[in-house]
Amino acid sequence: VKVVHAELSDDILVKAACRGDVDSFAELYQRHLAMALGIAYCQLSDRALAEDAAQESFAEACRNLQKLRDGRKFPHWLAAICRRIAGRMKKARRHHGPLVEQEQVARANDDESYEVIRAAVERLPQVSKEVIVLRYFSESTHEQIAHALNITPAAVHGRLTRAKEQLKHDLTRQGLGVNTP
Amino acid sequence: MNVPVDDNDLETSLRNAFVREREPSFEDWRAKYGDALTQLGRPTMTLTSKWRIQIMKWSVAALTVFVIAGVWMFLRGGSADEVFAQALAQATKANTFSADETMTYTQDGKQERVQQRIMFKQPHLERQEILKDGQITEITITDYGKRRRLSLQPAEKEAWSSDWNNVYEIDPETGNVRLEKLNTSFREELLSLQARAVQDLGEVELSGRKVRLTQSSNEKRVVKVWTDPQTRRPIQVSISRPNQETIISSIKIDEELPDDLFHLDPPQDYKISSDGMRTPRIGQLFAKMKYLLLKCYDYEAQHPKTFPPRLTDLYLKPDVLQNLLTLPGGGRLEYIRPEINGEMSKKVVLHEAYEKWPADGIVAGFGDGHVQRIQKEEDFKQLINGR
Repeated sequence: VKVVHAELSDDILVKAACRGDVDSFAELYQRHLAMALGIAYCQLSDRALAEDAAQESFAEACRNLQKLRDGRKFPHWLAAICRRIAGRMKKARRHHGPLVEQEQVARANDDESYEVIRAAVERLPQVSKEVIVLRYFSESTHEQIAHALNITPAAVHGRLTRAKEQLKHDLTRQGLGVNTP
Repeated sequence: MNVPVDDNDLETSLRNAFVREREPSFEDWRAKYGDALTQLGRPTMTLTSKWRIQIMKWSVAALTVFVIAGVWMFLRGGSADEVFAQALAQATKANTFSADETMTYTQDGKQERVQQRIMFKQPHLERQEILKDGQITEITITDYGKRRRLSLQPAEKEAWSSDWNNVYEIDPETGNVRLEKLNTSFREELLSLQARAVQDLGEVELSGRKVRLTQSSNEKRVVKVWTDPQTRRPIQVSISRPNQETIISSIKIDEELPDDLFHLDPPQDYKISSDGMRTPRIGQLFAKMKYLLLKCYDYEAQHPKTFPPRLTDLYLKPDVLQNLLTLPGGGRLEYIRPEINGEMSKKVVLHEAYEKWPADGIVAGFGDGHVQRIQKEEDFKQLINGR
């Protein structure tokens, strides 16, 4: 029987990886990297740093995979690891200056309006920011976000709707966007 | 400046603001964190492995008690040996066995409970069910004749099929490898406990049946055996130790077990996947190393916190050790005596010696008793240097 890793559930991939199957861990990596990047980006607001944090999170997950009792919770477990690592990196690098500035330098040629959007996302409360980043930065589906945050897809929908309302309100208040004369 | 003016614009702007860039591939990650992969396939001290170690220790202790008791009984006239020999002779004519085992123990102030159901049908069939809160969480069926194993996870409707062709065990008499076969020692151990339980506690009721209760005890444990007065076979055994109780119940010897319990075809609605096949060389190395590591633990039981200075110090006959150290396709094993402290699962104790790193990696055995294949030389060096 040929194993098609992409068709297997997280649970069976975790079990196979625990038995030493590197391909199964590679599939878990490919499947959840974008989500981990999103979680890290929420804290660090810098793509390069988020990549470092996400990669380190996978390394920690790999080293401790045997401790995960329920493989179905892999995304949520990984997200928790990633949040912790990104938080630690944010704290460690705080004295190097504001992270947003680093991101702005990296994206010097970017359209100015997108910078406005990203800055508005930065100002969102953490709960709202996380769903927005997972949806638009990580391009995760409602179901994937639900798994990562351990909430229902309906709750994801609710949070996204509220977050977008907050964004519109923020942009309007600054005299930009919706209902701007 | 273009900023969103309605919901659709906002949606588009958000997508564009976070345009996805090239993400680091798995190979990129592996180049940076490949050492983490050496942890895969390595058992940690989970509840199950703690339980297995407990069972292993218990088995070693039971064997020791059995040998001492046997010598003592032999000197006294050998009556318990006769009882055991009769029971064993009767049981080995039987070809089926099933029992439920529940182990409850306290660790770090917390009570843990593990349950399993064991069934076998001689000569080749075996089924093990792991239960949690009375529900089956995992089923493992092995057909040693067809050399296949099937693992099922009912909650997820997932099945795992494994080739058992190159899974070996060691013949303790010779030290040679042989294909792993059905192990009936669980039944034999129960019968030996029954034979040793000579203190009669009289007739008692168990699940509405009148049965005979007997007991044996020493300073470390109390064994109780409930015996069916008609068949004279044990139907329940309990072993109580401080902080630990094991109850083996619903013992059925030579009762009908339907063949479909041992079918290797997963239910139709299950998703099936399979393990890669081991080569004979790898399979034999695994068996040899696991056996040698077990013998290191035997040594450590006699010399607390100490592994043997050399493999020749193990309690093995020279010809048995010689056979164990003769590797398939030549080559030799290297033994690195570990200090018994810290994370034993990261300490390489045995490994294939090499001059040039083999293309398919080497096999290594670790201080916690597990054996694994190491694909990359740098991973191996890191393990050795990190000791």
